[in-house]
Amino acid sequence: MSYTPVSGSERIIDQVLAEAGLEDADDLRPVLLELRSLGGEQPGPSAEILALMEGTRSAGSGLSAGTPDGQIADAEIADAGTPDPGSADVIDLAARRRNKRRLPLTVFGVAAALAVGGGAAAAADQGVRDTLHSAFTSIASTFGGENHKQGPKTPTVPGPAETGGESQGTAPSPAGSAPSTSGTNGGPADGTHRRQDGGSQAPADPGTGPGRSSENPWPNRTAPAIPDVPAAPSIPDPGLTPPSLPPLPALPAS
Amino acid sequence: MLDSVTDEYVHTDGADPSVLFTVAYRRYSGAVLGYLRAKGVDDAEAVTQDVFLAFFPKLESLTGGLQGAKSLIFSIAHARMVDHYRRSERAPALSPYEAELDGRSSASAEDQAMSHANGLGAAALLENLSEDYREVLALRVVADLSVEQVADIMGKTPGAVKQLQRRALCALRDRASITKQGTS
Repeated sequence: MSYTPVSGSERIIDQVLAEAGLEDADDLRPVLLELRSLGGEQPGPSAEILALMEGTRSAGSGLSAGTPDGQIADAEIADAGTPDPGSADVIDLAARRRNKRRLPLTVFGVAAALAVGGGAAAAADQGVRDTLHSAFTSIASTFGGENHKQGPKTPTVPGPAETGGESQGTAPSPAGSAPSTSGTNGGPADGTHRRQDGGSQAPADPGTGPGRSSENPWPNRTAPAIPDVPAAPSIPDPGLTPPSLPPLPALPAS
Repeated sequence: MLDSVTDEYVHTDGADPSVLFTVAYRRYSGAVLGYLRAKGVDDAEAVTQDVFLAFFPKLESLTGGLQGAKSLIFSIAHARMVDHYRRSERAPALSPYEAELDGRSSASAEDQAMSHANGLGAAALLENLSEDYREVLALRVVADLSVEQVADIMGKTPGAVKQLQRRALCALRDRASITKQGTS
């Protein structure tokens, strides 16, 4: 055969035909050459690809020097078209991923801020407040019977117990906080200290009011009430147990 | 002249990824474009850009120099082509009717004369072949990959690829002869 390949494409086509055992298929060569020509056109790089290539000019050639391949790379890079530096911006994909991760958090924060702002605006409206007040009033009225029974019990039980404990520890008549009353004797400065201590220690018990009661005749009223409270729990215990014992023998009899 | 130097001697370990990326784009972008066109992808140029954008992040773990880059690039191109066909199967293309684009109509004498002036119409011949035949011819002839690389991309053995290539060439030969007889 007098045919000799003259280009790289013809050499590739000959190799493919030889592998298939179709060396004599001359009618296939023009078809395969045309098929091969589909890859002859090189597309122009887009802006993103130009941006990725842009790093080569700043960083220089990273291929190993001393081999002809380093020259290949340099030559091909130099052969590449000069991109427009203004249009080539490197996109940091990691930053994009980070922004995607922060997106739900940002959405949640904005929603929470809107909810708080809307709630404050609604609370500022008198009509809304009246509506809420009426609603709470109606609810309280429906369950009011049980709440009123439970309400007075809770403040009275701890009130005397605390005052009783303090009064027993501090014997003197001013019924305020134990260390301050025992260590100091009257005076305007002590009165202010007592107000601060009383406010910070027992804010839930307005009835005891240690700081305010030091200037008024309060201690005279609270002092007699204190000894009654410790006496009360001791009395009912023996009083309750004897009445419960007599019914026990009555059960086996029936 | 530069093509005469074999790619196997290019040392890319520890090299700047942008350098290898530039060289790979200059060498293989045309072949990728031709491969995608031979496979009938609509916007082949845009998909080519996508292939190289997907190739860049994998440069750090790349081994094998330019030959390894070539194999990786066409693996990505093959995957993108498969994605393209899956997408087109799910969403049918909606376009207004144009008589010039109607594939059911026969070509006019003028069109036939123009097609002969441009060649035998290899892309049109490929459209009549089966999917595997088109794939092996595109990877072997257009992309210039070895039998082993084609086997790796297609998920077949080298022997199966050789058989497939032989059958594809015979089918292409038959189609070309039928087309010649029909037009002459």
